[in-house]
Amino acid sequence: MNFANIPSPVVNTEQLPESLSRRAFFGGKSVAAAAVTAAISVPSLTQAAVPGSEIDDTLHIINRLTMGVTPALYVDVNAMGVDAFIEQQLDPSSIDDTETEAMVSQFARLDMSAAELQTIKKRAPIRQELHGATVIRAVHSNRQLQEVMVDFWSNHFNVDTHKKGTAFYKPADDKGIRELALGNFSDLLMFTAKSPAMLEYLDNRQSRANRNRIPNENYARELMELHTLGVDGGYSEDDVLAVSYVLSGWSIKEGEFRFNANANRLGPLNDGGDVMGWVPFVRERSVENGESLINFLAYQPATANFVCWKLCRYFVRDDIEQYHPLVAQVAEVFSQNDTEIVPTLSAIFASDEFRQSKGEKVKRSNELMYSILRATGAAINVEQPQRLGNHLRKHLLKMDQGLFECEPPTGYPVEASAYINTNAMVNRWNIGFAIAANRLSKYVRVNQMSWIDSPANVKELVEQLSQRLMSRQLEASEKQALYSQLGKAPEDVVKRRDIRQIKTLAGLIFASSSFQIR
Amino acid sequence: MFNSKFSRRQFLKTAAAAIALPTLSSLSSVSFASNGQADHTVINVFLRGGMDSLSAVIPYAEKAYFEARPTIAIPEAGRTALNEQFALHSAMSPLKSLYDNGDLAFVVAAGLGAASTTRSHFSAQRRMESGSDDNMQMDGWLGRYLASNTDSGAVFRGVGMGKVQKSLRGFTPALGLSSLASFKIKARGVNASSVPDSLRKLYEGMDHPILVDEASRTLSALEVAASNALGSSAKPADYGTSKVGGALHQVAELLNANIGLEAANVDMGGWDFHREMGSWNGGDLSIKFSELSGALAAFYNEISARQGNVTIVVMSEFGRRVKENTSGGADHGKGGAMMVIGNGIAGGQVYGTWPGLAPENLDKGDLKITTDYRQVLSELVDRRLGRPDLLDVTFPDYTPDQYLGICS
Repeated sequence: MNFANIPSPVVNTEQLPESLSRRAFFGGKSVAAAAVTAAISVPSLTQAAVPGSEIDDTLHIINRLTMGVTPALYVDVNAMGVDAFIEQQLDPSSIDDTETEAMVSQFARLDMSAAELQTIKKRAPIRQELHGATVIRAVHSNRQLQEVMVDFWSNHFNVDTHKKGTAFYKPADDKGIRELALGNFSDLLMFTAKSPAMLEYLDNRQSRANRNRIPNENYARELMELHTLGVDGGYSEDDVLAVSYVLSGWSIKEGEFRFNANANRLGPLNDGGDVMGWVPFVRERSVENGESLINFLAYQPATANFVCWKLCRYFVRDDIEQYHPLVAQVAEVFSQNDTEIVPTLSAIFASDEFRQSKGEKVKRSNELMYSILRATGAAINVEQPQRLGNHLRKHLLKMDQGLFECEPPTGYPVEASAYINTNAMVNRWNIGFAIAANRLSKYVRVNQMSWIDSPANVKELVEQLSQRLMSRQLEASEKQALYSQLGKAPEDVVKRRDIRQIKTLAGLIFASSSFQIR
Repeated sequence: MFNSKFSRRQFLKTAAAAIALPTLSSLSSVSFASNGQADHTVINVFLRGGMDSLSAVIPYAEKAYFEARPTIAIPEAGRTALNEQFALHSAMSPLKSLYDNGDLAFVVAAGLGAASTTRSHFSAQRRMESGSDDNMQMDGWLGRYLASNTDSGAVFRGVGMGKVQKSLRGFTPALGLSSLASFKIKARGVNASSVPDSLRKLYEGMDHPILVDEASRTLSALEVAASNALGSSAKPADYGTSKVGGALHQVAELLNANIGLEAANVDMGGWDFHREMGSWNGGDLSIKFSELSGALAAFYNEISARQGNVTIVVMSEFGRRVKENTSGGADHGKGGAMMVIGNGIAGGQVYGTWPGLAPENLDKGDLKITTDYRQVLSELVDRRLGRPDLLDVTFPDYTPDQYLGICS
């Protein structure tokens, strides 16, 4: 089996001698260095000072701008400073990501056109490849903030690949969202409005208003309620109907957007109606009216408030109020910068509320999986992209986070109170045990021995694991739980039996509330 | 050491189940209660997306129905008469015998109260699950009911399948479950049996506002699940392969395990038919009806020993527009339909005042709502659960004028 970027074989813990030498753990370069951030060498565990359990500024920024910390990334951000890191991440084109792209290029279906995919017909392999590629990007990409934003926008502009033929259109939709994830919101909105995936998912492809037919309201309603203004954004039921007329005829042909002029009518807007002040500026059967209306919605103050509120909930804390001063301030930046996403995020990242919100977010279940894969330095084999994707998908589904498989157009919730429940909790624990024990997928391998370095006693064992996997220390009471798992006192020497429990100890670290927050 | 956020009570309960603590006499009654049978269990089945009630309980006697829906009206071949006014979609025939036996009642033209004008799925669902007209009501009707009802001490009093839905909010100990069969900790190797205990210790000293309580609940639920071998019962074939069938079977297993289940919420998604409802015979909407009806009938069968102590309420956030749209579907509407199932109800009838479908009788193109959904639920709480004292807390801003007489 050819594991990408993993130079050394997985060390079998059963074969380890009682006395552990550092050389025995590291057959060569550490897995983390090679697999996660190839350009950066991993710091020696003994070099790194062992700080406390607090989330420092470096770790906080990494927690929020990325899918999870790695020891190498921590060292790197510490060296360059958090502001330089923010600036770098806000400019993904400046970051080399050839290695990730090489891995993702194995997912052949994601590069096919919708028409080609429709010819092949099968949808399940598309979903599998989407999972595989998304997880690989989340785990490996150096453009971490871009992937975080792809995740945000993929939920904001949710598409469920189980609806009708949506799966055939999703690869192109995903590509577009990634290109625009740190671009301009009005461009992104226009892109999704014309994206066949969205046209299929929210039924607009079938919306025709000619011959006195009634257009389909589905997209028009969610466009205003979920994508732009928000449910309290000031639109009426009449507006929903009017917008559905303006967008009638926005359809799909041969896998691409097509404006069917014959099916486009303006309905009530022909009789002097308006949509919150917007009026058609050319005659009906023109695509320009719909484009103008979508731009109009993108630039509404209610849209700025709604989108920026969602961003603040995503990046700062779950319970930030819709009319919190920070939201207003960020919305102002959004509006004044032509709905550009980069200055909007900069404003959030520069705010006191953001800087002071350490640990106030819980990792969503997909983020938890990515962060464990990053922390463990997992090597991912992409030789069987669909099988790999299938394994990853199964685990995400157990945690109710199947990618692009959220049925309602709201996307998955961002508030922990909505997604943390008994089932999620068990599966959030189990995924850590599974990854640490190489039970996630046979295409995903971690090297447990690379996480420790000749610990002198049980206390050092726990501290090394904690530092390696979290870039900080567990709380004292959490460490006690790990000692108790071993049935040892902190000062006891490390025995082979303890080493065999590294996967369990790591699983407990991943299960801890310290690891589950960001 | 226990942090205040960690539920000491719940921990002791589990400890009592795990190891004998004879000196704490009060605990024995707690652990007895957690293995007992609840007096009554409410199963709320929520059809998300706006179920097209006009295709389910078909007003076949009305000309306006066929005029408004030239391509999607259910023809004679696809329906079975319930009475002179309404017929049941033939894909729902698994429920016909329940209706004929008097164990199933329909309520037509039911929905949100008059205060609601929303056609947003999410606003309508939130409001319906809250049981209140107040948009700021953060908890749900079942949650408030459970929180006010006598605490039996059972861990599995309130369960949301898939997640803890809004209707159960307000009852903090509610559990969200998906698959009972995989509801276990999967750590392996040396000392793996110590892992649950280590997990408990891992959370005990911490004070995270959400994770710590949930960890405590989860560990308690895992113990009850293990000691009752939950997840081991085979799913009867008549459930079919639908998700809702899988969820209802698990609720049946919880009921049959006698672990004190008082309320469960089961979701069924995919009802937002803006297009392509399809033929009555095999079309997409008929498949939904078939999945729902098959699963409900199989569930009712699986809990045969306690049909008199269980009530199933089926609802959806709204019905769909009377007039069909351009794509063989219908957009969001108002009035919908509810179902109430249980032995001992006055079933075999279609309840509610029918406002009619003629254009002049519609509310902006929608079926009018003549029965507030809470009228049905209030009657359930009052007459079937026998808790008139809990009506005020369950439905804080609603008082019914009268009952329909379903739970006489």
